[in-house]
Amino acid sequence: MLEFEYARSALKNGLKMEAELGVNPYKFGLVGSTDAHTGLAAVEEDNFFGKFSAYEPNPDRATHVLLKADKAVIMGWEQTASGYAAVWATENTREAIFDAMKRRETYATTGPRMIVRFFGGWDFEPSDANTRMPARVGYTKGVPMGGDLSNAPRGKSPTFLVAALKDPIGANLDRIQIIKGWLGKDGQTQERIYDVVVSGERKIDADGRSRTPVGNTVDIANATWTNTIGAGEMITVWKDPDFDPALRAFYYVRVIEIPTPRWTAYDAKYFGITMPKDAPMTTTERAYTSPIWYTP
Amino acid sequence: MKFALLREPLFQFLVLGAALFGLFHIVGNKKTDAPERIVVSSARIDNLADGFARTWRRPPGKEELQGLVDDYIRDEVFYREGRAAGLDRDDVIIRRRVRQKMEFFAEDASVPEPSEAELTAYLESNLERFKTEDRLTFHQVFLSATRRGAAIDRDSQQVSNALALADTEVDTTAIGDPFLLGEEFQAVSQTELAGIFGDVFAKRMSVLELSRWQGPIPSSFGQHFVYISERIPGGAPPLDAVRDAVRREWSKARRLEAEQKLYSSLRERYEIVVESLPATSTEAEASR
Repeated sequence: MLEFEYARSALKNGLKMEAELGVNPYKFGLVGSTDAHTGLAAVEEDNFFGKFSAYEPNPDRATHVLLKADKAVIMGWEQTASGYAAVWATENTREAIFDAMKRRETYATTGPRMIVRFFGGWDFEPSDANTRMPARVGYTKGVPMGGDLSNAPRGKSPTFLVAALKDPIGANLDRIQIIKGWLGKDGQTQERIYDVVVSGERKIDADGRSRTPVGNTVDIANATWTNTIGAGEMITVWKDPDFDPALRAFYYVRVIEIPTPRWTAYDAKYFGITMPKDAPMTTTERAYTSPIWYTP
Repeated sequence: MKFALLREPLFQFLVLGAALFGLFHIVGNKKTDAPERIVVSSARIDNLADGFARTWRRPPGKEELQGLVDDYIRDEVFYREGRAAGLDRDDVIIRRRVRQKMEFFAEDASVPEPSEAELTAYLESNLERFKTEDRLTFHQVFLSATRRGAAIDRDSQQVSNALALADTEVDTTAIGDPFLLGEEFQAVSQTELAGIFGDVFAKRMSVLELSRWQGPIPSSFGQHFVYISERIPGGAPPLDAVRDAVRREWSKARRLEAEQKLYSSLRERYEIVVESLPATSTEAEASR
């Protein structure tokens, strides 16, 4: 991962700067957006209107040069049909939505309208994953996405209640991951990805990863898929197995869908064209939450 | 052939132009009039500092203030010279901005506070825009397709039997599975329902009866049994429920009116000559 190019590396650098400066300038929440200049919110894979009004759907748009700069040429097919900003507001008013963004209680998706919950605290127990009211337990025993943990009780590791519900008209879910970043004793930043729930009978290995892919039902030629793999909903309680109360850390969630046709596949079918061989024809849509930070 | 170039009018024009330019350089250099003045008044400096403070939430430091003043002078020099050179003419961005300022000017001409009668009349003549959807308050028993897999139809039959016996509200916390968004839903519109559960579910809900358990209604999450306790009818709202929105829309309509009025009165001052319009593309195609 190139430093300075990704949100994750900014989050990591934020920990480093906080250790030096006493304040973390990169303590931000996550939202998704389109970066489109069309005035349209048409970001579904099967209804993608591109980023610029000059390159709306047409048989040549994938092979058009979209942007040419000193360091790179970006081709039309490299555009991503995304994304959305999700906000956990107490009511649907401007004030409540801004308050929620201010406390970073937000997440990003690449297009699906998934529901994602993420709470951190010291006392979540595995049984909380079976509660009838996950959000109530979450707010009672912990802080939501975007929040802060500190004052680690002696001998305890942070626990997280994490849950996701698929888009009602979208694809099933493959897995939920928690990404942890921390600042080591040596002053170097570190990161690690944990699979915390996976669909079906797949196993999560002792190192926190599930190496069995969920599978793929995409019929590229017809730009279709089926929800015969994956899960409609997921919930679990996860405890950091490698917690060191002396080290600054952050945790955020990534929810990954099963593979679905990418907009290039819909275009190929609709226009009856062949895409460039480099153009991916499937995608795995996902959601990213704002982190929860731990500060010693 | 050799002298063909000398006979070119463009060449002649360029040579003459260069000669004039050279002459001006020699003669015109002795400028007699005093240089134009740029005065940065203390009011202007305050204004620059205010702008800075609005952005940075603190007043500018000494160097920053000097930088603002320097930049203002630079602005002014380029602005005056650019205007003198006519760079503001036929510039689509400047035209748009000036038009916008004229429109703001018209809109600013204070819109009065509407009377009760005006708001009522506006609401009545624009009802379509303020109509609301029916809203449902209900609770559900959810059977998760993910948790139950192939057993869901059998389980669904059992739940259906249990709920059929319950003609009033029963304690349903022991039946069914957790749902991430909960079991109770307050005043949810059809649009919101479709967003949460999908279109098929929302359509089914719109025709269900009140005050008894019904279902299962399928969604892509599994099956749902619902008890609708209240259907809050939508339709034409009373003024009090939408007063802010009506006032906002009324004011907007007044502003647009004012703008149109200003435009009409200004346009009257002009005699407008439009040379014949080119044929539109459809006409052109038809004539082919």
